[in-house]
Amino acid sequence: MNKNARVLVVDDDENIRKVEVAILEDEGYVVESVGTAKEAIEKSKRKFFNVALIDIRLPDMEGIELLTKFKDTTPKMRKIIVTGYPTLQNAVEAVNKGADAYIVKPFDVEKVLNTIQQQLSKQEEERRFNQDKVAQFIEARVRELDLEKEVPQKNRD
Amino acid sequence: MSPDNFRRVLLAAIEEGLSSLGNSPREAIFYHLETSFQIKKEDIPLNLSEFRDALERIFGPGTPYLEKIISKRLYEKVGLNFEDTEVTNLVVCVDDVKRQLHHSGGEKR
Repeated sequence: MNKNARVLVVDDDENIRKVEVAILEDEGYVVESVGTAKEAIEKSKRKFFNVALIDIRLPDMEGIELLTKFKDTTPKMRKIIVTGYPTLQNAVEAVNKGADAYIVKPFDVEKVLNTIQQQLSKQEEERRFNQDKVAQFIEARVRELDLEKEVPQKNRD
Repeated sequence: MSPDNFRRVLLAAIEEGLSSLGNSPREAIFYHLETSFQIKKEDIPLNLSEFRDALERIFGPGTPYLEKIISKRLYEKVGLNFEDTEVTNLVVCVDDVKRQLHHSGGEKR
């Protein structure tokens, strides 16, 4: 379990923010919270967060729209939409706009923690997969370069 | 800072910079530098231009990303301020660090 993971809580309700931060910090996560989409974008540009918990209703922007912004600025961050008004339409739209998971208020703490943990595991899988791809790319590229070196030699022969 | 110490710090910055790709890519780079480019890991600080050329041949347009991370790490390690510019040349940055350290009489901090 990645206990050093960084979580960004985006919710305009200060009380909910406080509760979420307390729960997640108790679990050992490094947590920061903001009340608006604008603050969330700024913060995510300055620091890396593994996961963001995003309230679907924010004062300056819909949480779903924020997903699109995050997709551009922090594609690797796992994004979990939080809503007190669950509808099928919301859920579909959230997934289409890049949400990795969907949580319904009021919080079931265990479910929230499980969802975060699942997202962190997926992120770790992705990281390993990408590293393997980079290592494979290096391997292939160096072989190409080695072959390029051999060709003039063969031509001379 | 003695030349030996500087080389150690530079190599550590290079290791950390390449680690941004992950541990296995970093090790793959060191392996191929030695086998295909004849640059041993511990000799990289003495063959910086060759190292940079090798990175450029492997990564092409992705090289400045690595150069920037390595340079940033180096500046941080010696306590100097790294100015983020559009184009970062590792060799130029290392020369700049050496020059600044020389003028300040050694390691900052």
